[in-house]
Amino acid sequence: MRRVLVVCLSAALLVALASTLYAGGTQENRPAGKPRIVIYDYGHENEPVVVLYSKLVDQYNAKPDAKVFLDYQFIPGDAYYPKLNAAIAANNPPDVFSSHAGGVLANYVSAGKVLALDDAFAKDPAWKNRFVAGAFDALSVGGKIYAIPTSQAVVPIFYNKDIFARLGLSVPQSYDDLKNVVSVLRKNGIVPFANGDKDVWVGAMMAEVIANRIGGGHPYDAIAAGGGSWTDPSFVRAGQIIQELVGLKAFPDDFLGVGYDAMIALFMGEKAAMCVNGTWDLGRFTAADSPIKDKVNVMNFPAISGGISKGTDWLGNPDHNITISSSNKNVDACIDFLKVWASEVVQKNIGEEQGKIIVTKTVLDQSKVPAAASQLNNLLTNATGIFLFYDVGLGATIGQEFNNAFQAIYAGNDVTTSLQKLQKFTLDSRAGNK
Amino acid sequence: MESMLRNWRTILAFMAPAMVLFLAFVLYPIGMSLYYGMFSWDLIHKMRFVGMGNFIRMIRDDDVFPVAVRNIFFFMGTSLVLQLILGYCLAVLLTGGVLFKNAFKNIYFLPAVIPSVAIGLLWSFIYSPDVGIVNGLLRAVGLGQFARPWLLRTGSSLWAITLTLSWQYTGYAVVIFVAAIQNIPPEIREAARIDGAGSFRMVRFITIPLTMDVIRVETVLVAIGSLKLFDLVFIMTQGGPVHSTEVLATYIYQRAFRQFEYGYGDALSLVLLGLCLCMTILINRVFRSVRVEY
Repeated sequence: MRRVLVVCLSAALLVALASTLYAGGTQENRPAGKPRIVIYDYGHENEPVVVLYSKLVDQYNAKPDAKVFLDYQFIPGDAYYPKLNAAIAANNPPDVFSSHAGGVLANYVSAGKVLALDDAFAKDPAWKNRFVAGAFDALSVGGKIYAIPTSQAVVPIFYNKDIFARLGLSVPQSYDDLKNVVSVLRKNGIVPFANGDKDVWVGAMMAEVIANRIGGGHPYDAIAAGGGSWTDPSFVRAGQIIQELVGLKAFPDDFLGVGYDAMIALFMGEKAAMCVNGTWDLGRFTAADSPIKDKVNVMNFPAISGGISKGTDWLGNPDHNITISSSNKNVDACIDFLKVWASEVVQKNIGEEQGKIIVTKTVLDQSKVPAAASQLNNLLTNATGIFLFYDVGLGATIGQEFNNAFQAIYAGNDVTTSLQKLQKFTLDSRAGNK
Repeated sequence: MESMLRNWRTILAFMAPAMVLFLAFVLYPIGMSLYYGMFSWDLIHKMRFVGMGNFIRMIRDDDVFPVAVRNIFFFMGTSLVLQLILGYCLAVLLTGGVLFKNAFKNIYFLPAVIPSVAIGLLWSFIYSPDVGIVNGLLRAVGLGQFARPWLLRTGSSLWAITLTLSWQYTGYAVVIFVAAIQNIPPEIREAARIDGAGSFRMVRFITIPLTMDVIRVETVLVAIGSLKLFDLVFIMTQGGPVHSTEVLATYIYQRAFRQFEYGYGDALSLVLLGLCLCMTILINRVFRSVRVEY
């Protein structure tokens, strides 16, 4: 009896063990004989762009004349780049993957891991012409284009116009106006900015906008070009303004523990009146089930007196860019898939349903575009340029160090010392990479 | 059968599978780590030899490294005091003839079987400034002025994590010590009792010396476990605010996986390995001098 029990238990254990070997990565309905194209993407399961991507992949695979089978895998959050890099290091890279622009993409280009798209554009000029001018600026290295953008993201200040109306506030036109808005909001028990700095890139966004208002684009451009210095007066002044805003309680209490999700919750829960965030969340704020869908509007960060910029440069980047791996053996099929993204139908989905800024010349039905997105487009008609997020433009190593340096500044550390340490790190990191 | 088990070839044959796994998954990666720690690598470009550069940078230029090392020693110290001493006291009490001994033992041990991620999330809510039980209780008894965001302030966050860590693993120590105390031959206890030993003397001169081996093992486990701490810190504070609760393991994660400095992360993990080995040797040395046999 006991032996029977032991045998049964061992068999059950063996079955459990064996079943794990088959777990994960099943491909149903994979037609035999078709080469498999692996696609890596970053994003969360219910994110609109991931939903769209999955739908496009399914549509492509359902085509009777599809030459390849697309295997779409999305990896949410922090784990994306480590997994991507590990796959590349193991000589098993995905065939198509999503990447941030600027220095992040340039990192892969310099290692020869991505394919230039210029040949494909030369064969199909109509495809390239669908994109607006400047769409590929941050996606080119050495004059060659290496990725296509799926939308453009910029960083306005989202604000709750109901709260503003209730307290008699209007859109601030200057930094002093903004300080006044902050103090009125605080007096009435509303958190002015929902932004925290537990996720360091959130706080960095605001710092980058402020630095741009003070010194214009030149100080950052110099650093991106390999020179410049983080101790430039515009960065120092940006740090001081951040600390001034902290002193005015412009951010939530204990904001160093408020992460990205908590910030969204504060803004959508109407506990905070403003939120410096990217347009990737515009769709979330204006969605049918959003509590603030009719109350959200956008404004630009005001100019700061004594600063160079009038506020016509916008922080942002080409968003969710798709690039082809250089080891890809089915380039034509992948290019076909990439072309789908520029089609009318897809661009309308991105522009109207998701409320994002499109990068092609597709004309959108303005009645379907969310009100906040229309307002944003109005603001952007005077835009003179887009400057990249520093951790995109400079790459993860130096970019993250910038984010960390400003987190220390938010926490009250001495601005000049923090920036000097950042400068030293940048020089050391660059010297090491020669 | 006996002679078969003594035959060295048989012994080797039985040990071989485990040895192969140990070599492949422990010794070989450690060896490669020693090698990679002397390079700078982001997985995409070619590896670049920097020799001792990573270690020099750690000591000279890194601000977060000393904080991380200080924090893991803080956790080690507080864990040794809380888990060992509290665990041993509870074990003595439980073996002292209390009712429902096994039930208590199981309850104390329960947190140790809950995944660390779940515990981290649970306690993050408990410590939450708005909806947490801690602040709620303080306010309910009129001590509202002591309510604070426990995990968000530099001073209290370390202690908050320590408390959670000890809550999780004290039961582990209790179970091990109860088994050890129960292994003490009852004749020795009776002899001591006849000689007039009270409870305190019993513990000091009989129980502790005779369970010294087990205490030594548990000390090593607790010390190494707290030096290597990752999951609770990662879930509860991510090493923040501003690196004040950073531990070596979370710092390695940030450098290697977030900033793609894998060579530097390797060097840091070698330091962690070195610290753990040193502590083990130190603890064994200290305990060797207090061995007792009756």
